Amino acid sequence: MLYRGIQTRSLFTTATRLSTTGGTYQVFDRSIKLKQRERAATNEESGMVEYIRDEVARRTIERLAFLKNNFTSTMDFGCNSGNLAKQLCEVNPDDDFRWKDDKALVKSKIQKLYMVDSSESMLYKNQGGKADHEMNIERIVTDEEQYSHPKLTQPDQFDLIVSNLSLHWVNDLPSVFSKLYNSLKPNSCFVGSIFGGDTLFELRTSLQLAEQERNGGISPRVSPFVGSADVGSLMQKAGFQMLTIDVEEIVVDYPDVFALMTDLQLMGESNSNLSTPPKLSKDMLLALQPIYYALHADPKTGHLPATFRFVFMIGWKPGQNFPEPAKRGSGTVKLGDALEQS
Amino acid sequence: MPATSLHAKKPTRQVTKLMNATMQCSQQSVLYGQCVLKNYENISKDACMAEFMNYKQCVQKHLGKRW
Repeated sequence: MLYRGIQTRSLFTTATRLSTTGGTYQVFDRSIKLKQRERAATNEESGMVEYIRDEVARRTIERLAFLKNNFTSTMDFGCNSGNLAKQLCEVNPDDDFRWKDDKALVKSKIQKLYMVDSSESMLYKNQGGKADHEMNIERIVTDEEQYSHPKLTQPDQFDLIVSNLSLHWVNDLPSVFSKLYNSLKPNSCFVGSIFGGDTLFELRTSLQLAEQERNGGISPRVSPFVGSADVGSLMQKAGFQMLTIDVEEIVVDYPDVFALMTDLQLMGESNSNLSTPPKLSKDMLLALQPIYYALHADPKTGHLPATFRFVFMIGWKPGQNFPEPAKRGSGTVKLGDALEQS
Repeated sequence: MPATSLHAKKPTRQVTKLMNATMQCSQQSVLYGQCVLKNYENISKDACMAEFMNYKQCVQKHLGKRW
């Protein structure tokens, strides 16, 4: 009896550990991330640091304007403060006609927009704004990684899923991708972006040098980011087809390294690695500025550049009449002949 | 703009004070940066100790605080 009791208990603990970690390697502390984002969203100054998310939302709208399928029921997964809706509804007299057309087209196609985010304060930050008057918006607070809200778990319910700059804090990307795939209607697509590769490499290298010179060792202070090839294989594993993946880069100039780090904090993008590095000491902070300056500063202006690299991805969930590659050996024209003609 | 009045009300953040102090010591700061740049392929602990201490003393002087 005793033996059996012990055995069941040990099985139970293994099972719970597996279910909480999902069997994946945990890199980020999601609970700390949530606190950072809540805190950032309640800071009045956080409205001034939306420049990257707004720009990526604009680029997403440009991409969406090329798609011919319907967007009747759209989900913005990990929407932050609702940058996509904000950009769709914002009117600027300087906008050129093509951009205006893109916006109007995409906005008219979206009949219902579900905005999903784990941080309630961030999600409701711009509530009652222009977007809420002009669009049919429903907000859902749920952890992106758990994806357990009853409104999200039904299969085949969205015509389009957008996810901008949110997935880089998700530990279990394969499972989130397959859940998103499951929520999509057949013949519809997922359009997303994620921070990738060399994002913030200037800050990463400067921190490493400063820490080595001051303390003799390095610790993880800038998150690991996915590469564009990894994104492709992850999406393929989840079932997405006809993938389009491309990489874009924005370099933002900052007057000094403190401005960069303050902005990151206001965005809610501070470090939240599970293996918490030792506190950033005053000496390290002092050392960081000259090193960043010596290594990366623009020689003319003296500004410090920070690179943000995005991996944009589009993936389709196949349905009926979905275009498929022809069978191997079914071609009737020789490739050589076709090439000679052209 | 409401943002400016916000700034006026709030006490200055520690990091802003530190930043202002480092700006007063640009000469020492540049020397330290150049030293690290010169050794960056083979950096070791305290490789630029002298330059850093000069820079730190200057910042402490302007900050009116020692640590």
